[in-house]
Amino acid sequence: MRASLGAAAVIISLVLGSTGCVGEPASKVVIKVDDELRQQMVAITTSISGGGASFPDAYYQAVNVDFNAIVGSEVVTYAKSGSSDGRAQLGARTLDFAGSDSLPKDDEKLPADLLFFPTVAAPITISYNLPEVPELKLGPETLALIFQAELTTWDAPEIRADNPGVKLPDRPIFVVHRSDGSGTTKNFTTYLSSAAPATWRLGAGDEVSWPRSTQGAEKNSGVAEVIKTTTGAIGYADLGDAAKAELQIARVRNSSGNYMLPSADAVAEALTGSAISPNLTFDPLNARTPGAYPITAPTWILVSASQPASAAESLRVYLRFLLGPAQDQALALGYVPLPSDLAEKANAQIDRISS
Amino acid sequence: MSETSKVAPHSLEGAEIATRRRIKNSMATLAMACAFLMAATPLLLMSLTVVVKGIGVVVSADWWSQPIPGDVGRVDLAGNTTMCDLGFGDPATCAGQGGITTTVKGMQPAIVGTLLTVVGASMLAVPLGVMGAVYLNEYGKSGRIARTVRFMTEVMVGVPSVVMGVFIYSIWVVKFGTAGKSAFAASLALACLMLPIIVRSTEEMLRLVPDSLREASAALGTRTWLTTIKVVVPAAIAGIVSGCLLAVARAAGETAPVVFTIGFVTTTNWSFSGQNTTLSAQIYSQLQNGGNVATQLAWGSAVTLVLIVLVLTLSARFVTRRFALG
Amino acid sequence: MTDIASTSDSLLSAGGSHARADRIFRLGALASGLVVLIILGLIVVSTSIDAWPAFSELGTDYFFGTTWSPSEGLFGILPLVFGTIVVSAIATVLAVPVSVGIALFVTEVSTKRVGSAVNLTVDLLAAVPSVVFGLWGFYQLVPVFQPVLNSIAGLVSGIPVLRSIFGQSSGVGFMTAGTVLALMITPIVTSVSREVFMTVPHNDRLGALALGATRWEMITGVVLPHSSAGLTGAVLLGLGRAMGETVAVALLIGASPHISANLFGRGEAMPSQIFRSLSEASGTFRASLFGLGVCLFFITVLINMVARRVVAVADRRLKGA
Repeated sequence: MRASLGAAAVIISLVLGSTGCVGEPASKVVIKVDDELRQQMVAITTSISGGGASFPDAYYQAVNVDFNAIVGSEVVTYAKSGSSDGRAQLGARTLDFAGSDSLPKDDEKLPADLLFFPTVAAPITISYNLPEVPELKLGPETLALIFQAELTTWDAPEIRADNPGVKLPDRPIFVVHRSDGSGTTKNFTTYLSSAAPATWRLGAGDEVSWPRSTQGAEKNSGVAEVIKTTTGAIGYADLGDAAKAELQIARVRNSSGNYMLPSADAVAEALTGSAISPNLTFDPLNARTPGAYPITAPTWILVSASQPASAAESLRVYLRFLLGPAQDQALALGYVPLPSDLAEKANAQIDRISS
Repeated sequence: MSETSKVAPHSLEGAEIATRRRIKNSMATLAMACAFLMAATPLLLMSLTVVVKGIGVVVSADWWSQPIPGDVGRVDLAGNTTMCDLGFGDPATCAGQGGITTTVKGMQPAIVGTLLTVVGASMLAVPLGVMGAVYLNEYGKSGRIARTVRFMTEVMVGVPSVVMGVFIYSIWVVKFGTAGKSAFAASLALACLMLPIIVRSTEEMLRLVPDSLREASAALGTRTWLTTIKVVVPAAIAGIVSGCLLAVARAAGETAPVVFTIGFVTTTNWSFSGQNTTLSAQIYSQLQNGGNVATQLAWGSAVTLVLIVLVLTLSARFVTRRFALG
Repeated sequence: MTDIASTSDSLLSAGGSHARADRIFRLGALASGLVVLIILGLIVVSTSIDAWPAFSELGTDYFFGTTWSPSEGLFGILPLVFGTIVVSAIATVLAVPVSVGIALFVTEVSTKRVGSAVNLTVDLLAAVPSVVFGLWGFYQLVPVFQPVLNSIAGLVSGIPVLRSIFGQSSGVGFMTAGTVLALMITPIVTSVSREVFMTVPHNDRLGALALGATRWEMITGVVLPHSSAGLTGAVLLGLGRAMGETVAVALLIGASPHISANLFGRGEAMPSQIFRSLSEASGTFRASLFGLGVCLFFITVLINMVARRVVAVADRRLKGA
């Protein structure tokens, strides 16, 4: 098993439309890698460990499976533990790279020469469980009221106003949120702060003081599970977890007044509409483009530019893989690849990692 | 003990007993039987659910021989209609033309990790526990030290397993960092959990050994230590083994102390050093992953774990039974 | 017996070295026995040291604060203590009648064969790992509990006090966690109660029956009064076990640390909070979690000490009688 994976001779690019793997055993490498990068990968000797944000976890896990398969041993690991934890561990040097969906606060202890590598972007879905309402539309103010527990039943006038002609049940609303510190919470609350500033009072952060009647759950998957098992629930979760749990997904009104589903195109449009800073941070939330899905979250890998010689090479090769061929895998996992100009800038930054 | 008492009520229940009292008596008997059903029904339902949901993955050879799939997320999302409708997903899979839709469902790393931690914990706790019990019953008896140790052992049985995990996290993981997370660290936590159980059950078994055996040995001029090794412990060995097996069964199912101390891997690690994983930790983390394949992995791990615990528990009963008959 | 013969042979040939061997063996055994005390001591010292920043920096805010919100730097443990107490109380209230019923059934009613089948079932229930209870509860019970609890909430919605105690439920919460926990502590309460009932003198039972009592009257008149102290111990032991249970509660309680009267609502318990956050926490948060471990240790040790004393005293009194 290990040997056949390690050889990785059979590289099948599904993304390019090949159907060559029908009937083939599973767990094959699905990412197409050119010879130069493959030689660099095979030459890797030092393992690197990363961790943090759980939002991009499904993407990193799948990418790592392929990366390790080509290298021939488990050189890269990623443990989801929340963005804040990832950054704290990077600061304490217990991790080689951290995944984070949010930018660090000023008082966080982090390496001075920190580099930000955007990897993918993805929508944060508003998922709900109301079998009798197949399509739900929500504006930012209504969302703010719901998540502040100010609307208690689904037939509240504010929700009715967003959904003319739809028969809404009088069930109680159960709000589900993350109980652990999370970049997903930060992005969602940042979005509410900017899209519904007059209504949203809980502020923005990795954690906020949710009203007592709301429910916490661990990680995006935990939130999705609770929504799935609770009729009348609503919460925010990444697309992959919402889709796995087969949740219903609401349309959210963007700044141009269009009610958008979190489709790949709508997310891509949010990315093209946001301004990129020189350090490659950017904010795609509540983007102005008319077709943008408003709750689009970025995610970064944080690395210190100065590394021990061995780890530096592993990190460079891994990032080349992640920002290069692995981008083709993003859509399949519920993420949107970087627009080409941003991907180029990120790739150009890789060589700043040195020993 | 109460054969006669069980016969007696029937013989005494005559016509002179008022109907109301008799009805009350029958109602009470019924309530007691119902109490048993209230505990037995959930157990039955739970066992059925675990077996039905988990047996599918467990019966394949892959389960016992392959690494834990790391791309569960990708497989769970392959061909997902929500994803495809939104323009995500792999076009070929969405069109129903193949793609990666299955993965090899293996759990060998967790099975190996469970066995390693349990064996490690037993190697630490069994000798200490048995020797401790020997001290209590053969040397200390009702002396001050023995009474204190005996009482503290009883108290230690009640210390929650999560506290043992916190303790090992504090003396091991905090000191050595992530590198300290290993099957050995988990063994330490589980050994703390097993130790008092073994001391208690072993002492009880040693107490059952008739003093006449010790006296006979002593009469031949044998020292206490030789009497203990050659006479007392062999006489109680079945009971001691059974007690240890029950302690092992308890440890094998523990999650809280393991999760802090063992880390996480998806490939088999046969070593006591380096991160590892166990079945109980996998149940928890796969349940958190959510999705179809992950849920199957969780139920499969549950079946495997329950199987291991069941074998240990039943062999403990079997050994006791043999001991009682012998 | 052949062992003894051979032992004495070897003894005769070995001579005085056995005295030293005996001393070494005795010391080894003593050391092993003392390991229990050493571990308990180390638990207190090591976790207290790691928890010290929380105790010293937060002081009374830690022990009497009513908000546990790590993101805001608020670490008042009362909501977690409250959750632990509520969940274990629900579990104890549900488990004790059932356990005592089973114990009475085994000791007073059933035949030996049926009794051993019942005992086997209870032992098997004890053998099921906590995480399996959690898994089962999460996927199978929560969807069933949500409508049931909500319809109860609907029934009492007009009654002032009950309305706030039995409020709306999302399926997880104190009641769900407490019910599963009840199942988990049933074996220990049953087995201790069973032992207690077995110490009731047989002649007292026969005496009651001879006076024309029905079996139930014999139980209420003789068995239970004799066992009250022992049963108190059994209940306390169950309570102690319930307070420390971790994974199943963590999965079913709802992870929402706050004090609320709604038993159907969500909460958080001390072990669950440690379990969820310890490996990811740092700084004061981590110290606070270690502090929870210290508190949990002392609470459960105290309960167990009292319980063991009560059982031991009751035992001695009965045996003396």
